[in-house]
This record gives sequence, structure tokens and C-alpha cells, in this order.
Amino acid sequence: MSAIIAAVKAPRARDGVIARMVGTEMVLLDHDRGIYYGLNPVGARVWQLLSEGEAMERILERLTGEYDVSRETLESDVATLFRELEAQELVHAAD
Amino acid sequence: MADFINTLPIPPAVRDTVRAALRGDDAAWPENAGGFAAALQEHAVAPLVYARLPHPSLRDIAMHAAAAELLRIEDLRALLTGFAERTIRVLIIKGSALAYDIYDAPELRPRADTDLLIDRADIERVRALFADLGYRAHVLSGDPHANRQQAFERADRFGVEHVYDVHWDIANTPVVRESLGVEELLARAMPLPRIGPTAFAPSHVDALLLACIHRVAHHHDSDRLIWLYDIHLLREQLSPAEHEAFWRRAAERRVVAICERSVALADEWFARAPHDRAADWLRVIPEDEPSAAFLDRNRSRAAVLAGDLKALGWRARLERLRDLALPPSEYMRASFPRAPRFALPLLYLYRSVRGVMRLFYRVGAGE
Repeated sequence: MSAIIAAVKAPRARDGVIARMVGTEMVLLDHDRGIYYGLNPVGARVWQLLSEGEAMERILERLTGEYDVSRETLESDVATLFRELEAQELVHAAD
Repeated sequence: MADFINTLPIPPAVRDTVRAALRGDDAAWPENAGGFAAALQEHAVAPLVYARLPHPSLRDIAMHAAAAELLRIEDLRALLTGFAERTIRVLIIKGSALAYDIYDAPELRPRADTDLLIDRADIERVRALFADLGYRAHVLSGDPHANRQQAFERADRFGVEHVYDVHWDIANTPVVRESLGVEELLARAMPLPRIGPTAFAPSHVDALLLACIHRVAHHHDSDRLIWLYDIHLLREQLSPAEHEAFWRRAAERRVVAICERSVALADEWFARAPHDRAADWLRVIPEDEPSAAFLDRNRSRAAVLAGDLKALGWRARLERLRDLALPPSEYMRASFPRAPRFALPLLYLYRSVRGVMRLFYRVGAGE
């Protein structure tokens, strides 16, 4: 398990980040900075799940059931996504 | 004088695909399809097509539209609160109203500004409201017989421009601007709960009339697709009684020809089959409607001006010509911001010469 997946047990969207679906993709607007980001369908699904309050382990379980991909690949992709989301300060670990 | 919009044509290679996607039919992009994004953007249907049939070249346009909508609606809601606090009646009209009424998602209906309709008597209060909220008013041409709208804009903290076009008549041209009165539109207005509790828009029948009048009388029968799609979606919403009310009102207001033309184009693009046309609901199709002149894209601008003058009384005609020749100096300075002050007489001369030359242009040629 990657370090970030292990460290971020309950990721949460930062206040001020607004999401909107565009087809199967998603736009995230950082309302505090006026910057927007695009998420691909898998990224959009991850964001939906974390917005529902799911814990990281549960997010991985749900995605494993929804996508035809190995757990290892999924963990790697989700870890990459979270590193990018954290770098842009769009998510944080729940208190 | 409003202009014809010369949109890029939809490339023939993707025309059927675009049409099928917008109709909701199964569709697939032709192999190696490309080079059409700019045309779809000009026709303001790129996000809509992307939602139905994704293509990589449309993705950025669609994503940007979605992000911009989030900022736009926040600004509009704050503005409507200001209208409500000052008890100024206002209707949201055209693209913004339709985006939050008949479209699945508002970002699927791109638009450059938000159109509002107010009572003429409230214009000074509206100007004060916009000024208090930090908007800059566009300078008017000083020609009240040719202009019944004013734009207000501001850049938000991110530098995103928010533009409102405030109208106190449904059109600028005197040929059709009294076809629908502000009071009757307010009386028949419907709520727009997706925007907020103080948001109202014209009824669907009135919105359809406005959509037909706007694309013809303001843009000289422009074939911009989003306006035809608005008309298609609005017609899909109407009950038989509303279709009948629409055509009866069109006949009363002498705009049947421009409505029939708009509906025919919308049906041709988007409907399974033509339906609920003028001949289906009116026993007699009116002839000699002055508004029908706008259907002629080969008309010169001089002919358009003559049509406008004909719709005015004698005194108004003289005032119109005076204001056309000699707009206020404030307007001239705003139109030529780099020109030195002492050059004002030369600017009036330049404007006159340019204006006379433009009278010979055909409206369908655009600028």
C-alpha cells in the first residue's frame, strides 16, 4: 500500500471547492483561488465517494467492485490522484 | 443596429453527426473527424454536443463552461438579492433563463452575458443598484429611439467578467419592440427555482416568441444553432393549448412570418417531423407584416434604417436621424478611447462617412 493511501484514511474535500459533473467527468472549482481542474471519470467517481464521506479503504473497495482493474493498479492510480489533489490543496485528511 | 452573426458553418463532414447528437439519436464521430470545434463554439453548442457525444477537441470548452457557470450563477444570485431588496421587478430573459429552465444543466447553454428585462421607469434605480455593486455602465449612444438596453459589467476577484444586458423593451427596433410589453410579460412570468426564490422568467409561450423575434429582428435571421435549439426545446415544453396561444399571440403582434421561419429551421434541424406550425393553428396566415422584412438578409442597412424610421412618428424620426448623426461626445470618446480630445470634430466626420458607407452594406454580410 502506498504511503499516501496509508496516511490518508479519511480524505475530505476542502471547503470552498465546488464540484460539477460534465458528462462522466468532473470540474472542480477552487472557489478561493478562482482555478478549476478537470477530473477524468475515475477521478470523478473518487471525488463523489469522498464527498459522500467514505473512508479511503471503503473508496478502494467500491472502486475495485466497479472497475475491471487490479487492487494494486487501483491503489497506485488513486495514490497519484490524491497526491495531485493534496498538492493543489483540494483535499485534506479529516480531523 | 444589431448585427447578423456570421457563424462559421458546421463542416459538412460532421453535420449529420452533430444533428443526430443534438436530437438525442445514436451517433458516432466520423473517423479522423476534426477541425469543427471552433464552429461548434461559435454556434454555442459545443458543451451540448460534448455531453451527448464526447470528442477530445470539445472537452476544454465543456469543462470551462461548467466552471464559468459556477461563478456566473453566484454573481447573478447576489444581483437578484439586490433587486429584491430594492423591490425592483426584473425578469431574466433569453439564454440565462432557458439555461436554468429547459436545459438539463445550465452550462449546456453557453452565453456571453445575462439578459434582464425591467420596467423603463426603474432604469435609474437599476443603474444605482449596479453602481453600488461595483459594475461599470456602458456608455449609451444617446439615441433612445434606437437603443432600449444598457450593459453593465464588472470583473470579480478572479478577473472573471460578469456582463448584464438590461433591456427595458424586448428589442431595439421600433418595428417589433412593442410586440410584447414588459408589464404583460411580468404578469405572465414564471418562477425559476433553480436560480432562486426571487428569480422569474417569461412564460414558455412568451419565451418562445422572444426567441423567435430575437434571432430574426436582432440578428437578421442568423442561423446560429443554439438559438434554434432554444426554440426546439421550448416547443417541446408546450401543451397543445400553449401552441395555440403562441400562434394566436404571434398573429396579434404581427410576427407570424418570423416565428414560422424560426420554427421551420428549428424543426428542420432537430424535430422528428414538422409539427404545430402556423398553418396548423391559424385559419388565416397574416400577410404584409412589417417584421417580415427582417427575413431578407440581402436588405441593405439603409433599408433597415428606413424600416425603423417608418415605424416611428415624424418627430421621433427627426430625433433618430439627429442622434444618429450627432451622438453625445461622451459616447464618441468611449467609442474612440485612444483619440485625443481635440480630434472630436474629426471623429464625428469620420463616423458620418463610415456610417453613410455602411448604409450600403447588406445585413447578411455582417461586419
